[in-house]
Amino acid sequence: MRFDWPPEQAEFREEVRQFAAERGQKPSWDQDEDRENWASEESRENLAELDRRGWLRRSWPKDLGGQEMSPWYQFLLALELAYTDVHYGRRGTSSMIGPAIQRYGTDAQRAEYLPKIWSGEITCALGYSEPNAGSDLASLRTRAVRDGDSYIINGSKIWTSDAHWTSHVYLAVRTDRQAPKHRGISIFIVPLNLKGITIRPIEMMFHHRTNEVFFDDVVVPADMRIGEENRGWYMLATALDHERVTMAINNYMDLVHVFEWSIDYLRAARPDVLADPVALRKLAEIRLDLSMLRALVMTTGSVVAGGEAPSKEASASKVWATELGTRMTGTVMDLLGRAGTQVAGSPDGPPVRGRLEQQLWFSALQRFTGGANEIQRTIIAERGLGLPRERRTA
Amino acid sequence: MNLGLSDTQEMIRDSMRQQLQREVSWQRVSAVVADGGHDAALWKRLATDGWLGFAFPEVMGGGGADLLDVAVALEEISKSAAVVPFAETMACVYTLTRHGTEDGQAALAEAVVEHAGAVAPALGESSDDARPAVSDGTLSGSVRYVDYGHSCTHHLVGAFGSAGPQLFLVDARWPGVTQQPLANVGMTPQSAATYASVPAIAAGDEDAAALLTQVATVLSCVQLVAFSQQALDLTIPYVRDRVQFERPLGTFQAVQQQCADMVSALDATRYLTYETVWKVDRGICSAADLATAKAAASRTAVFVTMTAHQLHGGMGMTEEYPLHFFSRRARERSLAWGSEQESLAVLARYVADETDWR
Repeated sequence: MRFDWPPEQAEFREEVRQFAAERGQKPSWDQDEDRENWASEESRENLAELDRRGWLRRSWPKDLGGQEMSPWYQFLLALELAYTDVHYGRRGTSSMIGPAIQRYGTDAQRAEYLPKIWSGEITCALGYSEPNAGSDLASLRTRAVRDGDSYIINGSKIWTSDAHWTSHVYLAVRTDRQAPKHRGISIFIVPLNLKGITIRPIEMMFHHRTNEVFFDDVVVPADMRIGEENRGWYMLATALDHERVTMAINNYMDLVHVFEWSIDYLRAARPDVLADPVALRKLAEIRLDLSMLRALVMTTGSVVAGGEAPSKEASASKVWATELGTRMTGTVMDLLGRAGTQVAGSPDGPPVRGRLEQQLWFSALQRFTGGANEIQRTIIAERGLGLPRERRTA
Repeated sequence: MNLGLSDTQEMIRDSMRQQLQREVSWQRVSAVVADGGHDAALWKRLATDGWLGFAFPEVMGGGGADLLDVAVALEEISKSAAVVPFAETMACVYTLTRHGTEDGQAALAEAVVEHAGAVAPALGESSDDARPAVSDGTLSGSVRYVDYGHSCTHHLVGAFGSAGPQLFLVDARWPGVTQQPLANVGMTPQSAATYASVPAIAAGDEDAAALLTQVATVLSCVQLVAFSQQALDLTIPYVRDRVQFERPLGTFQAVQQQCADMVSALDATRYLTYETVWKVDRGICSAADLATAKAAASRTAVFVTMTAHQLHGGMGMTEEYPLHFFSRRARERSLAWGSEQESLAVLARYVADETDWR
């Protein structure tokens, strides 16, 4: 057991910190900017620069242009970039879609997609949820029917965030309607400019835009299917595990940020709060919870570094982070009293540069996205602790 | 960063576990607890097998174990619920062998290695007029809450000496030492000790006293992790096997979700605890680090053991079933060496000024 980084990894972390300090976002939350800046030119440049430096692929196999170094490099990179909120394409794309294509794609697909994912030429939205398939994702009904060298796709997806600017959607569809629901799903990587695709915006309560995407007789070449036909559910489960690792890292660093900014804000604007021992005790509780989250995130990293798929650990990090987000914003807003009510547009300006309000609604959302926390707890109990399966209808 | 046990640590864990499984039954623990003392036969056995010398450095003829090795052994002992002053003795041994005076180290080696003795830290609370002090080589004063005070041959007392606060080693069997047994919620041996002109060896300086507090605190975190782990390990098979409404309890979502929260809190606490052990071993543990680990361990152990009681129902409350050892001791250790609230109060002193703690 050891809890420090070997010199090479410590040095790498310093390099990333420096890069992140130079390119990190402004330490404020501007609702209009936030809508678009993941798609910005700057964000694409950051991604391209990260790829030029070889940082995105340090942990990858050599035949894919990687360096086959410890998975901790990828982990450290994600941690440090998340801390300063460096935007580099869609944060999730490379960490979720990349590994899935690497593992399940054909040689031709790997050669075609992976370099473009790293360079930022291909960006991906996630096409999982449907109006009637949310937590029960395996009930999805959007269907793809084989037609010669193509599939014809019909149906609709919802909560497809980023689809209005990404180049592709990573799409889960039903390819066998007779099979049990987990055994009739396939995965496609579909360009969003194909004929028959329409995107409708959905405005969310915290100024976030998401989308509904409609597929109307969309013709997709068969070589855009990733992995075996009807085996998509199992690939999806792997991708969801990786998504939770990414969520855990990003959520942890977001919360660290909001916490540090809250303390800075209190020091500058509300010394009366920091002089109150009860308030300090409340903040210490949050600080304790952040350390427990750090412990879960590092435990998750350790599982990944050991070459295993994270499941219970990533789920625990996700549950802990999202519930802590709600507790943290609640505590800080409560300590501020009525000043905590002010948001952008108020002449006083919002406290903590608007990040409290953002985190309030964002953590409300995050508790159920990426697999609702209730489902995460089921995963922990069944996959992690080996409890018998709860009763579900087939 | 590597959370796996080393080969040596695996060996420590396995050999300690096997020995305890052979020798320490729940009935034996119950009998020792009912008797009010400690398991003297097991202590002798641990001495014979070399466990008492294993944290002495190799240059002193010991096993050269570091604090992580000690923690791994302690976790196994704590899971067995054996009533022995292992954490106490190891805290004193680790502190004095790393930071003690020559006199102190020699006396310690004689007491522990040669004579299979045990040492209790006596740093507990004292009333203002009875704070231990040393003059002319003898120690006088009183200390409350000395864990295993009666069981140990020696006490390592925090007292005011000629060089300020120091550690002094005294023979607890000396006539000038009187001990009043205390009764605590953990049902573990404990006393209030009074020292009347007892010969005392200057064993460590102020830094050694600070280190003893750190080591004892973080070893109490290890005990809390062990109690939590045992409570969880008892609960999982129980809810898997117990059938109600014609189905195992473990298939109920409400039960599953509680088990998930138990293991998540435990995983986080285990990491923080062992990270803090590692930091103490390297001499880089801050007050905030220590308070964080203790607050986490205290909170988690009470949460996990009390949830275990809820999921066990009546069976968990019986004295025939071992859960009560762990819930009792979790409650006791959660309050020793800084309760959750006391630890949060320490953390609160730093929370507004910390940098780069992430």
